[in-house]
Amino acid sequence: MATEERFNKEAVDTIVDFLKANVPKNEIDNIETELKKDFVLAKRRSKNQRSKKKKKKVRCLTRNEKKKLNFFNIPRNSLKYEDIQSMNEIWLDYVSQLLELDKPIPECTSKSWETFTQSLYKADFHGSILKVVRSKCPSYVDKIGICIMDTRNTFKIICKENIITTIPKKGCVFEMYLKNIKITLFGKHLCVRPAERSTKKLKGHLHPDL
Amino acid sequence: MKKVQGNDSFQRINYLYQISKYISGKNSALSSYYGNLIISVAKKNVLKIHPDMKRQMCKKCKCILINNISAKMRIKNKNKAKTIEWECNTCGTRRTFPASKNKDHRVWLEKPESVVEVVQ
Repeated sequence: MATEERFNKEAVDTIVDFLKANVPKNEIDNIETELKKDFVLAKRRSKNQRSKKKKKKVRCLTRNEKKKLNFFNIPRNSLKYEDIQSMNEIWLDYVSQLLELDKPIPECTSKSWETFTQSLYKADFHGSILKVVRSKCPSYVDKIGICIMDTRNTFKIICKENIITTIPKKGCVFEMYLKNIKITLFGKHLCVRPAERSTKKLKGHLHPDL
Repeated sequence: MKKVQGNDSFQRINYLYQISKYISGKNSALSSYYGNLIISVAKKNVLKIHPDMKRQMCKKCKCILINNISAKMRIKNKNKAKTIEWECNTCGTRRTFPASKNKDHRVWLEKPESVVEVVQ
């Protein structure tokens, strides 16, 4: 504190000296009275400024916090296939209830075919067994696994050797197995966020890749 | 069977809830991913999540809370009224629910007068 006060006094002295040197001669007497003037409102802060300092309560996890908890990258060997396998059983129940598989599957040309494909498109793919049939990149072909994550452009698949791989949807053709039915999916048409897919309308006819 | 509006989305929410609960003890990252998906599906389709389901989700990270596995449950006394406190193990947020004996703290959906008609 003592050093600070001394420093302040020095500063005041230099300012006064500077003013005495530079101000016109007839006003030198007024300097001290001018300096003693007090600005009443300068010390008061407005109410708005004080309330702004309050911190906002964070409701959801921020991106940094998510990164710290390791939510973004799931390590390659962190999950076991056996754990996910029972997820597939739940999924089979869910899909057979959604598509009403106890009834015969409608013909390709009949009217109910469209509603069948619509409901399949709106279904959830987490937990399904996916197999890559065709791909632009040959190393992806013939990979089988259970889907654990479904993002806009990729599927995350866990295979039997407990390895998680990411597969881009674009340029891949997938096969899905439901009990005794095989469904072919063109990854090109699935490039939508999983949450938005349920509200989006599907076009009547889509052309697969040539 | 009379179909409810938004039936397939409700089924999807139900399924996602099941996997999220199943995986929550093993991998909290996936559990919160599915939890976030539940909320975004419900938001997109303008549906309400059932309070039973919603109360089991962590408010911050959306993991499913299970006692002794992904969360800690304690009963506390606060000004003579009892409350149940859930603490999430992944992010550490606390959530309290009132549970005093002489007051009725049930949600509206749990009360018998909320049921108007049962669709078969």
